[in-house]
Amino acid sequence: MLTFIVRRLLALPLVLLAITLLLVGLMQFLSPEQRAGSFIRSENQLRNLELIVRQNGLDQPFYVQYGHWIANAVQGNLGYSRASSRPVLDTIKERFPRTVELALYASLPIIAVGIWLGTAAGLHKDKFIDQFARVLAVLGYSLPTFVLGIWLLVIFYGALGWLPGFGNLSNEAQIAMLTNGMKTYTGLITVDALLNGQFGIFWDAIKHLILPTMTLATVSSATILKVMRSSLIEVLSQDYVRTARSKGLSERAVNIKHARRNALLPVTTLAGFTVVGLLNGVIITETIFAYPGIGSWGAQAATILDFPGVMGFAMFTAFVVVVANLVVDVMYGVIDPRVRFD
Amino acid sequence: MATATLNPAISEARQDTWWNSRVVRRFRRNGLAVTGLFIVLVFALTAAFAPLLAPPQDNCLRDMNVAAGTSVYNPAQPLFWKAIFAPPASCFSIVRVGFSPIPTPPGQDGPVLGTINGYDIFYGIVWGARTAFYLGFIVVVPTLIIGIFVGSVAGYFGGWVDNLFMRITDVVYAFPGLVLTIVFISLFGQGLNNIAISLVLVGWGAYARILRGEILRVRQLEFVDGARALGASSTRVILHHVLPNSLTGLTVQATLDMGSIVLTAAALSFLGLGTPIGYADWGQLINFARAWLQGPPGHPFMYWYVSFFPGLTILLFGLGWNLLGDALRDALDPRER
Repeated sequence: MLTFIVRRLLALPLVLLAITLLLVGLMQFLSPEQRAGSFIRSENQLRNLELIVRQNGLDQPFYVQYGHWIANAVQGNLGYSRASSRPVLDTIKERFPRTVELALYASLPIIAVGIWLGTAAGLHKDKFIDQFARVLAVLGYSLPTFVLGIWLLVIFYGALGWLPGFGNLSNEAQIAMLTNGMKTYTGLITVDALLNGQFGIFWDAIKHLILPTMTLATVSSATILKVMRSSLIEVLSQDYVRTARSKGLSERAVNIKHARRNALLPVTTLAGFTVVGLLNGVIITETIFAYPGIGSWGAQAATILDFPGVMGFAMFTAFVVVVANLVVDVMYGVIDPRVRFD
Repeated sequence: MATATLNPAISEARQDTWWNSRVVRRFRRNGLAVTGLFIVLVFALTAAFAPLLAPPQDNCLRDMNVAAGTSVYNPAQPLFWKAIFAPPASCFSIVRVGFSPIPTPPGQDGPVLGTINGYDIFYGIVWGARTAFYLGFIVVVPTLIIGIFVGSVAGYFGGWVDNLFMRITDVVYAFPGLVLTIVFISLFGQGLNNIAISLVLVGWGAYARILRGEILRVRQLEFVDGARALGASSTRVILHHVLPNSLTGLTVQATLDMGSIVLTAAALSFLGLGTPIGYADWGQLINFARAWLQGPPGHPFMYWYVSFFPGLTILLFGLGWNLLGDALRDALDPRER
């Protein structure tokens, strides 16, 4: 177990290095002048384009440029993103907590619908709740995020006017945040607002989170629901479940303690994929709701050909995925003693 | 004998037909499977007969060298066949009824599903079906070819070839699919064909991995040793024995991707990274709708049709392929379910 973790931790820098190699390598498709864009912050500099190319070695062979890039990255310089009008690293620092907040709230319906409804469907196979859950699942993963998001906006923001449509805070709440001198503890607005006793801001942030959360959670909920259901059906036919039942345990104890715990194992493996799915989802969800996280920044960077922005965004999400997968693998070994790492 | 009324030859022939094979029987009896197949067929017919459902106008007719207002409905004329089989590129530009951005409701002044930004929504949906199938094929077919080649080489030979392949896909897998696609598109530029290239570059690894896993399983089975013992060459063992028995997973994945790739492309168009403005493409219609979420004061739900019809089209298309893919998995693989 320990050797497995150590070996994976040692391999981690290699994978991260390969990711940077791939992305910096892909940048070579661009001309040196295009790549010089990452060093330009004012129109005046445009006149010295050739100088910038030469100064930064953009016309040098790939390995030299990669060396430059690594040297810069180690000092925390990943270039300047036009999409956010800020350096890439600052943009990530500023926007990633927003995305984390969105993903955390999205995980509530994912767990509730995926696990709870999946269990109910598996326990009552072919009954009404099962049919209902299966239809919901197939609709859930056929309905693209952007269609669902737009439909929710048309109904709850446009027609009914119950919820705000865009951003993560209303103007009033933003002003209140500045004037009341809210302290930052976690970077998550809802949590910080509660810790500061600002219930108005908390409620405002929650209202802005409802629609994006629903949009983001749908696909992952459907996937987990499906896996939970089929895994539970399989576990219910196992010998140890029959043993538990025949020794006179209550139906509830058998289902919850013996069957569901074991059925949850494949769902845990899915957690890694869920992280990937959420990161895919935030690009679209955040764009629809103009939510200031890293996803909307990445999408905007791509539309205005802000290459440092696109590369920084891609690199950061890839790092998150690699680390998340490592955590999932280790967690899996902890909860399932049958798994042997060798 | 009196009971021997059944002609044994007939019953045997019936058992042997394709229609009665085990796979097809299992597929036919699955209601969801038939629904999926039906939805996909409706879309396929819509795509095939797009020029009859939404007749070409203006530039599209001009590029086929006929006068404006000419009818395409006469099968005796070459125009009918040309419109169906070889429409010029301008037919894929959505017909523009006017230049006012304000949506007009279904049925008013002609367009049956209304207009948005002056574009005829019905025309966009119908010709968008062609775009969808075109995109599905030009992405799935090359992805399959590359995936089958790399997957079978890696799976069959193993060793350093396999190791290299797995490490490359490890890096590709580190990226959420849409993120890497966006990176490629920002490098290559927008447009339908660049989207396709990006999706192939992102997708081949998954196919190759599925196939590799299957081949690792199949090549250990006894019949492969048998073939090799009889003196079959590596190429022959791969092409005639291992590969045909390993394709189940890939078939299912390719079917599911016919739907999901179109949805991804629509998402890219929605983000503004897709086809040029005005191209018959479902994602773009939804993108237009973003500006019209709310009606004028007093009628907040007035523009419902601009997001409803394109959204429903995309939902049904994805649903059809998903049902078909799931049913195919159940029918081909008895271990599932």
